Amino acid sequence: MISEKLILTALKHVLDPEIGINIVDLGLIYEVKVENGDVHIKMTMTTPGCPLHASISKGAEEAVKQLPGVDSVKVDLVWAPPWTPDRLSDWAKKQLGR
Amino acid sequence: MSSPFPGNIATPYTPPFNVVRRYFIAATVTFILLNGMMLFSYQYLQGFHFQPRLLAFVHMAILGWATLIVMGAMTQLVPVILETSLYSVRIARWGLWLYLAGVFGISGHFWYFAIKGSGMISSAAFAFLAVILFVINIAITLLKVKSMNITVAHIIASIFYLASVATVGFILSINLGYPFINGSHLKYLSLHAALGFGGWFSMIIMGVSYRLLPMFTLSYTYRTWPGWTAFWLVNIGIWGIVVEFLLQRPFYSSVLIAIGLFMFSYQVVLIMRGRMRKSLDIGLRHAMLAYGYIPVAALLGLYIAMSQSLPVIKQRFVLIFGFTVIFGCLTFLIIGMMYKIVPFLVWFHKFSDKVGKEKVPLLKDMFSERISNIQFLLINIGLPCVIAGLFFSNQIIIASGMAMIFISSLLFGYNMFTVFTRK
Repeated sequence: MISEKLILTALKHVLDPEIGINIVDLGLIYEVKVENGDVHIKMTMTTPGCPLHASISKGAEEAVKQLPGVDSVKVDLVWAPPWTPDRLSDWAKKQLGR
Repeated sequence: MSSPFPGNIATPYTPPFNVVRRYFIAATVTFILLNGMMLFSYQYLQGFHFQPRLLAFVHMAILGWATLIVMGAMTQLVPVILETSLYSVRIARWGLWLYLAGVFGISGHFWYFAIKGSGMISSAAFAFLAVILFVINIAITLLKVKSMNITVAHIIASIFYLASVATVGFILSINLGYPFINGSHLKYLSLHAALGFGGWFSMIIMGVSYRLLPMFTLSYTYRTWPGWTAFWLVNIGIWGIVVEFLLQRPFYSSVLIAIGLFMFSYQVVLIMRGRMRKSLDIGLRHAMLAYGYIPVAALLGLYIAMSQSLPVIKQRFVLIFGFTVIFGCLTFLIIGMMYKIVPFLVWFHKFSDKVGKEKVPLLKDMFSERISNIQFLLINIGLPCVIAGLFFSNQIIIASGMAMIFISSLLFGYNMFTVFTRK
């Protein structure tokens, strides 16, 4: 059965190509909801107006779609609350040299 | 808290990839050609600055390398910053060829000092027309601006100075062969240089840095007053130089420009202090050196503007100043930003629709890091070498430094080739 944890694991395969860190550890994923086989993801970007939003949000959708048991994926890109560096995981902070 | 200078570098508003790519490729080829010519003509890198080969080098560097790259980058960035479409892709596409014909014509005529006849004037007219078309294209695009911010203010000022410096340059190209304006040609040349270095390049470097540096370093919390102070100081300083020129009385306006450039450096320090990404990649390492050379260039410029020293000593400092600005400030920043922007544009063009479906490269994987590190090392040794050679008037040191810079430019060209041909 599909779970949030499984979805987050799949999303860890989607990297920000500039930073080289996956979107989960970057703290870009705000919410993951699973209802039967329907997945709803709420996510953001580090900077508003980012062109990567199309590639990354589409990438997130594609990565989750490939999971067995997933019927549909909806990705909502939101700008509120805005992303802050506090959302970085400890691992990501280490990668960035913090 | 979001960044005071947010943004990114490609959106649906940007012109077709192949248009901007031509600007970057043409400029990179010119840069390699320039360094090769300087290496094999190193004996001309000394003495009085108003001599044929030096004029050819300077115009090739300023127009064929630095301005061409900035024009390409602005064609890409301005629509992004304003979140609107470029006014005319056709102007961007065809203006490039007109511009290249003009730039190589000007440089060639300076090289042989063929200043009389229609060759020089028509070449200058081509370059002038191409610049004015570019300015019109960007200006009309800017009319769609929804709100003023620090980057937009700098871009507006920069294209105004670009049009001004091109106009003065065109007039000077006619006056050189067929003198018609009163006073010394060299005084007009100083105005030409002040508008170019102090106006056009200062404004665009500062404005673009406020946009890109926070984005690349993930810097989100910093004060912006030094950036605005720098903007006003440099602008008042440039206008002061124009007034000084018209009234033929010194007001020491160059002091304001120098202080403004120091304020810009302080703004960069604030952005860098607040950054989340502590480690600096190859692009940012180049950019940091450019920011380091800017206060050095400001002090050299101030010294030249106010110095009463012997002409021969002052002349050496004029060459050192020119070299510091062209290679230290402009080239380091351009190479640094190209290592960030070009891989991104190519990646966006070739891999953006493959994310999540298959493994895609990171931007840093788009070129050889090892080669870029060697390239960085060579230019970092070569540049101080040439500056030392100019200071001591030693041709062997100059030639050695130029050889390193030339090899560095070849390696940079190879890396750009790798990015552009990435499958």
